[in-house]
Amino acid sequence: MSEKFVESNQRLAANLALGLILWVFSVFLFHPLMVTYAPDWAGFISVLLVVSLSYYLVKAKMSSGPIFEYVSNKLTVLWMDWRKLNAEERQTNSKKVEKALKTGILLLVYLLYRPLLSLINPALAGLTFVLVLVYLLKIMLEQK
Amino acid sequence: MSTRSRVIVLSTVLAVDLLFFIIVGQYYPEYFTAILDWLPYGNEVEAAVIILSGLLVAIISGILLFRGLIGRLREVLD
Repeated sequence: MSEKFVESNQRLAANLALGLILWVFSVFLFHPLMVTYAPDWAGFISVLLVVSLSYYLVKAKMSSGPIFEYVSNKLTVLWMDWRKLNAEERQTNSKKVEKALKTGILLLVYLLYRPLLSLINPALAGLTFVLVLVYLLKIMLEQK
Repeated sequence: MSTRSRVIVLSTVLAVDLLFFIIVGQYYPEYFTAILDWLPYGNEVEAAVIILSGLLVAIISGILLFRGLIGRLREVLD
């Protein structure tokens, strides 16, 4: 593995960890307290948290480098070994694994945002879910 | 300040902050309400400011602690 690849992975891990710290503290402890003691302010704080979480996730995405392709290739090899598939089927299986990985990441990101969005407005969480579903359908149905 | 003492100070700050809000905020809400009653302004604004400052302290100390631990790990690995 090249040094640049390792460095971009370190930056990705650091940004994701910082975003996770923010998310864990806010969602598990401070947000329920805010809803109990100052419900009128909970929405405003949620907006701030959504913005800060997005900042770290975007920073992680910018610094990620070719990690997605690397993980996707590794998973494809594992999948083909497990199912004992031929090497000719590699191309189609690689696409399937890539789509599954994208779907998983998208759902995970949605689940991260969901508790914060539902406190801004419950309808916003539902609307985001519809948009996520539409995007997932696009990923699943695209040909290339 | 050396990395080790910085990590100790930051983890103490984080632990005190989290323990205060877990114990007083969640398990003994009557004490938290008593603190809010004791302060001079409207209860809800005070509660929002106190909880927000607690969240900021937790996030900032958590981030600095994480960076300190990463720095220490790099020192050890090098």
